[in-house]
Amino acid sequence: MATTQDNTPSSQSIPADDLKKKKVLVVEDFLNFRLTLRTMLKSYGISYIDDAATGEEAVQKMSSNKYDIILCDYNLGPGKDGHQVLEEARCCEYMDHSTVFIMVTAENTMDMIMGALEYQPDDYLIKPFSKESLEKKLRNLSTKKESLKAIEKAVEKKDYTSVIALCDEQINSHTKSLSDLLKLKGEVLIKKQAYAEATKFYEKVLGMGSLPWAMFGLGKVKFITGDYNEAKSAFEKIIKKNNKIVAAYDWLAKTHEKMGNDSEAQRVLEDAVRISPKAILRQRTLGNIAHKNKDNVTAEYSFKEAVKQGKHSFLKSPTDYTCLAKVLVDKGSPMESLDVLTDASREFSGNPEASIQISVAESLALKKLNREEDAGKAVQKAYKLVAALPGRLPVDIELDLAKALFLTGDEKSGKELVRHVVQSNHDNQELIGNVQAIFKELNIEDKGREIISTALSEVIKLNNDGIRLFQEGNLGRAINFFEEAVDRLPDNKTINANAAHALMAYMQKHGNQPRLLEKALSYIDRVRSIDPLYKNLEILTNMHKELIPEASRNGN
Amino acid sequence: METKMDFLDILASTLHDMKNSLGILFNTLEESIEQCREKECSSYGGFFTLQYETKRLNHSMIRLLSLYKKEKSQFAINVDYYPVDEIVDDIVIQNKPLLSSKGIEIETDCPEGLFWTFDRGLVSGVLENVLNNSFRYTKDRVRISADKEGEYLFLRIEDNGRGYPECMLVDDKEELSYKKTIDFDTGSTGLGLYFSMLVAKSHTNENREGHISILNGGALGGGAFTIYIP
Repeated sequence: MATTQDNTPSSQSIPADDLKKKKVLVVEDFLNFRLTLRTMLKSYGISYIDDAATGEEAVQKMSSNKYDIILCDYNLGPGKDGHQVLEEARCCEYMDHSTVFIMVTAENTMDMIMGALEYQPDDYLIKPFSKESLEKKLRNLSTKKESLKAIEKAVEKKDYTSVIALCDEQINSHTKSLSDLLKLKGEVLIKKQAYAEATKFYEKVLGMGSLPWAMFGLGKVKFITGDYNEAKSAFEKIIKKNNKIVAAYDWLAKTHEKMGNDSEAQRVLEDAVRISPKAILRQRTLGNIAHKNKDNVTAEYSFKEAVKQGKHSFLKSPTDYTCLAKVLVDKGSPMESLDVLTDASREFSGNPEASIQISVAESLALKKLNREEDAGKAVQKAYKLVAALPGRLPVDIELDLAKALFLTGDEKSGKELVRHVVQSNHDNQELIGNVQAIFKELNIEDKGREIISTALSEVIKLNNDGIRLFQEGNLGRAINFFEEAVDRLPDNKTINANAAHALMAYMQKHGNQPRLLEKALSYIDRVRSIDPLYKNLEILTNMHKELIPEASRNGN
Repeated sequence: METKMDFLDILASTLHDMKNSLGILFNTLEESIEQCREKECSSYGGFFTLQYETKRLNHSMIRLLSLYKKEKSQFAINVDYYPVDEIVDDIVIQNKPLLSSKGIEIETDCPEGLFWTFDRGLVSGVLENVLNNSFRYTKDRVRISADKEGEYLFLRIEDNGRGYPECMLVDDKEELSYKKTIDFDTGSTGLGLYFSMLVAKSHTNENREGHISILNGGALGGGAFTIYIP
């Protein structure tokens, strides 16, 4: 049977030679153990071995070199720990899915997994381990990565239908990577927005054992589809079984917030912070919710933690400083608030987005000190910076600025900014609600309602006019119309989606054109970047895929 | 501010520190054994005794740390869906050099393609522990087997030694308190047993709970330790 090709992923290890060619990074603060690891790796014939004594050095090396294997100790002394190294390397794409990351630890793995449902290493090694164990682990993992290569490629191309087909194929062939494949399949079903299928899938997996990641996936699906009661019960079940899985707390808090239960959300996050205090994002979220709950003591503490922890992290953000400054103003300490902002200016000099946020916060502190004129100047400085910015600002910052404009008496600019925010996000009920809340806070609720409704009706009319052209079969004019609309409101997902739709409908009728295909794809990509969960995203993506000529579909 | 140091916390952090030293000791020993094997020196056999005792110490410390966490209500299990034969293979690879040094043969029996939900680190810890005991008490054979039995996965370690003493035997369903098994005369603290039970019991599925059994006889006629996971 010489013609039979073996397509099943091999469960055997890769040949010895292949391990020799691997580039390895050893991250370990203990010199002796670093040398031991080197000796072990050399005995497998590996010659390319780098090492790092701290997390900072590891990240730096990973940013300039591409390694095949990373052996990283969890406990690395005072700086970044192993998990932070992994998190940063994944976030900044210093490593891709083919990189093997092994976390080395002196004891049972539970301590490290606490917050790590979303960023897990490929495997753990518990010290002490023998030369043979490490070798076997490296071989197994390299083989596994090899067998998942085709799938990872499809994931990178966002070709979710193929990913699922490939996963199913491998799941049915006796593979050791079963658990990884099941996890991946669930994640992709969510990305593909196949929520009913994802629910069924996770329920089936849960029938095989009460796996926290499957319960987590189920909770996420319920959350996304707005079934908050079910989501809440899923996250609570995870915590009941294992009260260390902090990611479940984060999502439970998010669920409580959606259910309008802000105080419960805060309580859950406080629990999570107690278990795992070293987490900037969580401190930031807790700070925000506590501020919303007018618990300035907790908010101040959390934002101070976020600022402190951010000093050595890639997650460092000016928003933590400005939020802290705002809390201090509300607490009645405007002078301390200005000190924080001076720090921030130093930390983020040369960053216009940061300058805008800092100036806005500054104006609030100055106003509290009754320095009206200085407050006005600070806001105007921010407003001028916005105009000079090439892209758009995050919505939160825009709204903060709009609020400060109203507060310092520049209603005209404030109104213009609000109008833009509302029109760019006209189908985001939550955001419109936030805008309304701002007007309420400013005591101009009626005026605000009018500004919002005028802005909304303008954009709805704009969209409907385009749709009418489309429905009348006037595709050429519909395209022109939506393209102009996109130019005016580049951040409006519905308008981007409709522009893509019009282009593709035109091509379905008149044949495809590479230039238009590209344009349509850029609109679809923009919709995805604005809202990865946009309801028609999958339909648009498939429509686009079907327009690509068969011959070039698999080629690249 | 006056803060009272908690003795348990001091103990735990000291254990961590000791474990690090032990790790170095273990790996240095590995290198020495390797060099010794190449040079065929006479102390080759003695090194294995050192390694055996190092491992024993390490297991004791892992157990103590787990019990510390249990005491502090920090003990939690972290399960995933694993290929059972891979776990068995790992244990064999970790322990084969040591067992072979004493002429002990190790055999396995585990169906391929069997997956189960459990905490890999904890269950491996229990098995390593038992295997280390077998090293001391078996004649010349050890057998590791695993399979599905009813709604449970069982992992079993058998040997052809004289078997466990009567007082250590644990039947499937029997509830055993840990205090009963401390025997200061033989030096057995029963901690190993307690740890195994703790790990087994922490694995639950619907209304079923894990358990262990310690019997004599078995496939090789000696001791037979089994952990059942629902």
